Amino acid sequence: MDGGSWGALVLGILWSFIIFFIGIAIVAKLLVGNSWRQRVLLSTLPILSLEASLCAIASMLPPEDPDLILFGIVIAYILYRIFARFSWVPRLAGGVYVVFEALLPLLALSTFRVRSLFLVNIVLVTIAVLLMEVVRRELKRIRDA
Amino acid sequence: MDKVGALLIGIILLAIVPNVAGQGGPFAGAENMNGTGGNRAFEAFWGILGNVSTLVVEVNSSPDQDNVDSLIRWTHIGEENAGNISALLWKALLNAKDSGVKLHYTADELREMASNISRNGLPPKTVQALKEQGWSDDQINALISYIRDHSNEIVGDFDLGAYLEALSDSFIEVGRKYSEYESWALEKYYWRNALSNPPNGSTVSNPYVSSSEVNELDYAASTRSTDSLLSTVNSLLDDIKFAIVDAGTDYYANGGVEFQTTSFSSSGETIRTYYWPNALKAYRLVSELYTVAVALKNGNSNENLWDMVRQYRKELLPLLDVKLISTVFIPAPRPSPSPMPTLLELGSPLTSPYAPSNEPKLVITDVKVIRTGSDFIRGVFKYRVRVDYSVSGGPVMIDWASFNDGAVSKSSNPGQIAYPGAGSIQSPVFIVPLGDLRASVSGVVKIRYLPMTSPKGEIPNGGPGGSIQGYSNGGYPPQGAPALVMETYHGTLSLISEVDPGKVRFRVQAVKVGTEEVEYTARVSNFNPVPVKGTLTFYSTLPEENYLIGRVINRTEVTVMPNSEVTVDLGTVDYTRSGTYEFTGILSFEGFEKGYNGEVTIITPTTGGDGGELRIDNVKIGPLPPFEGDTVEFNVTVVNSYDSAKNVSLRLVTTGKYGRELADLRNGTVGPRSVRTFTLYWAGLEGDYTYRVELSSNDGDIDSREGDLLVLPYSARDKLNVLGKLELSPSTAYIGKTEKVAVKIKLWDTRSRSTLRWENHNVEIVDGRGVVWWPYKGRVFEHPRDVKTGEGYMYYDGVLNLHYGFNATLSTLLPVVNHNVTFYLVVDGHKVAASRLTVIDDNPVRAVMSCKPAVVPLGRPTQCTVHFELGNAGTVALNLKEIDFGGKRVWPSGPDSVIVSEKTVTLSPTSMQRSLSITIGTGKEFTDYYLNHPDFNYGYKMIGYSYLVVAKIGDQLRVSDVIQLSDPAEVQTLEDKAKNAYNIIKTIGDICDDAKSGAVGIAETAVSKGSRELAWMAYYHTLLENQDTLDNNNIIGG
Repeated sequence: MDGGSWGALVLGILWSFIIFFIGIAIVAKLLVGNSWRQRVLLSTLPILSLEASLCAIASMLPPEDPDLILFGIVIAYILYRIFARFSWVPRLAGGVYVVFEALLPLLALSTFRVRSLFLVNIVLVTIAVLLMEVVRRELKRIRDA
Repeated sequence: MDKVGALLIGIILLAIVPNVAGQGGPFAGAENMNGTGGNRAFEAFWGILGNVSTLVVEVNSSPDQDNVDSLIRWTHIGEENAGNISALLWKALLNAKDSGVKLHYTADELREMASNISRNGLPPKTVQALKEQGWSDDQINALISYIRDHSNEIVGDFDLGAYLEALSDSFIEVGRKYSEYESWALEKYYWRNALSNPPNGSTVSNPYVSSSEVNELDYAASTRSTDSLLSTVNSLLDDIKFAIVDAGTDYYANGGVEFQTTSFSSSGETIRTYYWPNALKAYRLVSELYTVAVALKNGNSNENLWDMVRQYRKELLPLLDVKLISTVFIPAPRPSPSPMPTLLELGSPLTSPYAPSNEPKLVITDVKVIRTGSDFIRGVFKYRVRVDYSVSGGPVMIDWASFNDGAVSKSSNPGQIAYPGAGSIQSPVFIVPLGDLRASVSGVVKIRYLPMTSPKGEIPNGGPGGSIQGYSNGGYPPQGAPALVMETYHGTLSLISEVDPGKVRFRVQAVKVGTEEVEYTARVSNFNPVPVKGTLTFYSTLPEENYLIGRVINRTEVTVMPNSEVTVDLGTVDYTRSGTYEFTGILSFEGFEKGYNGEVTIITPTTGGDGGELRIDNVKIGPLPPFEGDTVEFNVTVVNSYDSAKNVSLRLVTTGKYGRELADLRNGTVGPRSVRTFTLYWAGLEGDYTYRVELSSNDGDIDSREGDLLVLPYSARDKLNVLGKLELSPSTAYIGKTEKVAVKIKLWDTRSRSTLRWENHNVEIVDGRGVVWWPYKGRVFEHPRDVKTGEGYMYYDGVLNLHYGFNATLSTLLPVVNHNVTFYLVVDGHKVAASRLTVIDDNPVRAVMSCKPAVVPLGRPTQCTVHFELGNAGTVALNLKEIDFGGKRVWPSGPDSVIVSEKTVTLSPTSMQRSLSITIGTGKEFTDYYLNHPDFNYGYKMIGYSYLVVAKIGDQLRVSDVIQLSDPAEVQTLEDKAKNAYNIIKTIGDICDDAKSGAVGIAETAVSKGSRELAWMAYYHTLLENQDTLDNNNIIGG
């Protein structure tokens, strides 16, 4: 895989990560009435987004089955239902967010070989990190309250 | 009258003439160099008369050009001299009256005068005057004694006034005699081989001598303006002489002349041939009038002369009528000479990253500044920059030219094709502040051009072996890519000049000296008080292979002294082929420029017997575009190179949706070795038509021309505000010889002019199958590829921002494919013009390829069928070697979706027509292969572009067609996707109970399309760009 293809893949991951992250956050905020479930969903939000976005990327590679996106969403839903069964899950939130806030910039930095893609990835990762930071602080506020 | 009376008058005259001479009276105006003025007028009279009489004898025996020219010049001087003397005599009469000299003498008074002289001698004043004339005392005494001895012979009265008046009038008669000889000289030379049967035609007004000009004589007479009279007469003489001497082609008995005029417009030039039956009579009348005008100008205030002027006008008017014999319209790009080009110093040539190394190439030779007017009040100087260039190695298309004066950068988009040889290009208007009537200009000029053929004659972008394997820039041949040349210039111009360019006249005269040879001479005359030095450059178009090229024939320095004329021999041009050739002479002097354009038609009889040719030279259609209800004129020019006149019949046949129709029929005769234009008319209903003009004679059908014509609906007349036309150059392409055609797109807004109001228009060139050939359908995220600006418009990638009332000219190069193509110009979804590219295949094996469908929905296959036809009786085996799609080889190595029915086709006398079919599937495998296997599926990115499909057969044969990939019906919209997703979600609703279908659908599209779009923008778009030829057309690989 050459620099361009890797850069484009990372770009796809970051882009779909942001989309899913925003989408699931909206779902958590507006559609989930139960505050416990809401906390579980927000705490595992980066994991679910990454899982869905990997499925989305897979859907774009041959043999290009768009149903993989739906499959990823379904898996994310199942993961969420599993996470909801364990009471310790919300306590993982801090660690999860720290890992993701470090991992994604590394991913973006790894595309330095193609400057045009690198620039776009840096912009996207900045947005992703900002979004995660906003959600992390919101979670902290809920927990402290 | 007796002798003594005459002597007495002489004595009286002597007393008067020095008197008025001292006052400066009539002699003040006698200024000229021929010694015709003042006292010298009388002296010169005999000299002129002597010269004229000698020349008349010489011309009568040998009427050569030199003798005739001399006689014309001397008779003209004689007319002036006669007018002068007439005026002098009249003034003498007036002076005599004014100074109280008695004019009427009775016989008694004369006798008394004589006896007075006998007694007291001559009055001292008269004696003095006689002495000044060189009389000795003895001679004076002899005169006195003569008067004394014969004083008793005086018998009658004498009226000095009537005598002087009659003498003055008699010199007008002398002038008339000179005029007679002048026109006789003209007749002797130019009418020496006068033809007997004058041509016929409709009577029209004279293009050279207008009746309004003649009517100025009446105006001059009523206002008593001698200046205006003389200048009118002079200009009439010049004009008539020009029609006879310079423009005259044939001379007919009784002083008739056939001459040609050329008028230019933006679309081309019109050459009209006229017959003027009374040219010589008109010349004689006007030269007679010249004597009268000179007399009046120099002070002859005889009322009768003004009556004569009116009478001459009356006689002259009916002599001006001419007959229009033929009209020929020739479209032609031509260098337009403009005033004041000043050569600037060039800087050292700048190195450019795109500097041309390969031929064909264009080199800037000179940069000049051309003054377009100056605004002294606002203290600015307006100018254009003219760049002279020379092209070598083959034709190029000048795509873009940029001029930067250090403060402003302006560009123009000439879209002109430059053939090998010299040419020039002009910038838009620049402004520079004026200091001390001097202007300093400097700047940089850049010209971008596209070669029209590669050095080896290959289609541009065809790599070694004809295929393109890689995508790296290094893998691409440089041919076909635009090249850029740059030059700097600087200089200071003085805006003051002693030379009035209006007083310099310049003409080029063409004389046929053989069947194909034309001798050119230039005549430069200078009426300025200072000598004029200049450079004369003479160009002519010459035939070369399939096109005409402009060549500099001669460049020479000329110096013209004040009030004189020089004749410069420009050389003889041998045109090797029948045709119409234009010539241009440009005289550059003291920062001014004068041009003279003309053209010659050469008709060469084909060798052998009375071989000749009868053919259609061209067909011009107007108005364009026609609307329903318009009568469309077809001006058909027919050339006859036989030695005899030919009866021809022209038929105009149109074929449209209502079927075939014989639109018009014209019969006529084309004279021996001549050209004639016939006009055929047709009016059609809205729709798309094919027209065919057929030329037939007694021998049957000879020649025909075909084309396409689009008639716009009547309702569109008010709706369509922007009209346009397409000009293909050439419009007939030869397979294997013509690789690209240049297309000039002219668009104009029909509303009243305003720079404050404008509209955006989408412009496209599509063919009859709907394939978009132009413009490049660039994506919004890319830098606009094709940006052109000009006065009143701005254009970028297919969107034209056009101001009300302005027009725009755009251009592109399109590849030639193996079948005729009708191109339509589409403006905002409306077809406004059609133009057909006729493709002629004169190779031994003719091949035509057509792909169906031509607009292919992405993912669907298209079938390209190649029909072969054998032109001779041999046997040929044709091997399909390669198939290129959009510049990339897709067969034999390539995706499996490209299927070929058979690899070898054998043509023989028993099976002279065969065909093979190529099926190109445009599915994912194909697009992945074409785009070099990107990680994502970017097939949809190939939509909207057109692709050149080339099949290479054997070593030489190439057949091609253009197809377009379109959005397939299967590709769903966002809404369809959302619906699909919703259906799926519903079935698995129990699992994802808190998800909403729309959100998932949107997410799917946002994720898949969004990330791919971003990656495309950032990285992958070069996949298609690398396939492109930068021609700004929409055809990848072409």
